[in-house]
Amino acid sequence: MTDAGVALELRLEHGESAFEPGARVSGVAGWSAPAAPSRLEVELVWSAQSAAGRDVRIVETVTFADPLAEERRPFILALPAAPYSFRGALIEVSWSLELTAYPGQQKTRLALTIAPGHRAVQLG
Amino acid sequence: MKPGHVELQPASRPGWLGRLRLAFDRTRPRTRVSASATPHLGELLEVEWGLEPSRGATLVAVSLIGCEVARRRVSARTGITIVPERRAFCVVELDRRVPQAGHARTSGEGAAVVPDGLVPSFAGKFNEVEWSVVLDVSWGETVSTRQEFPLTMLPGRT
Repeated sequence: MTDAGVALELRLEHGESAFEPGARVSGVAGWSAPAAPSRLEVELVWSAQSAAGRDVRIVETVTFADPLAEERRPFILALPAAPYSFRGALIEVSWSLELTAYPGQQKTRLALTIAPGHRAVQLG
Repeated sequence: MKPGHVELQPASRPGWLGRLRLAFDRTRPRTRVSASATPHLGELLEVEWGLEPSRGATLVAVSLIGCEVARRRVSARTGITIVPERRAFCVVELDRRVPQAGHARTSGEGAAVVPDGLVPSFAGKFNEVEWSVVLDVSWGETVSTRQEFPLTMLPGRT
């Protein structure tokens, strides 16, 4: 993604995006900017959406301090055991990884599925 | 109470005044439920329950219910009202018993494997997956009461 001159990239090992709960995920965050960002963060986020509203929770944050203007850095995350990705009659829970460059807060996002069997649970 | 069980608290507990009244009012039925302390998806859930006094009760049904709950906030002049919408995605009967006439207390136990392929408990501000042991008591032909005892359903151990 390119925004305000910052190109951001998130890649997971083997190009996977669906995982078992509790799995370890490794990937690479890359960026290219005219000037070095102050810092970058990879956040593991779940959100629960329904007609009532949206809950968002940041589960884990990896901070890349003192970045260069153009760089690629590896990261490893331990996924939690819950909540599972699911679609129900009222609620949908989804997971994502977000890479944010500061101070401009440019973002790129990668959707994840975290559930047994690597497939979002269908309720009802 | 069986080893490894914990007593579950009812979803709606009375305030201290209500509890004081309840302590002295021996005619009002009290329900007690205990269950496995750490229930997991795909594993056996054991429950013990009791109803006292149970005179007049004609049927007690004990179930495990998994529910999606979406809490909509409705603004009005008087403030914000929370309107919960519930949708059950799992109902498993644990026990069903006809109380013996004249007995002051009825109790029982039940067990069932929690279905796999469902979702564990989680709670957000607006959205929640709630698991409860529910006691439905019929009093005669028309009146029935329901009491819910929430528990935290943990992910499956795969």
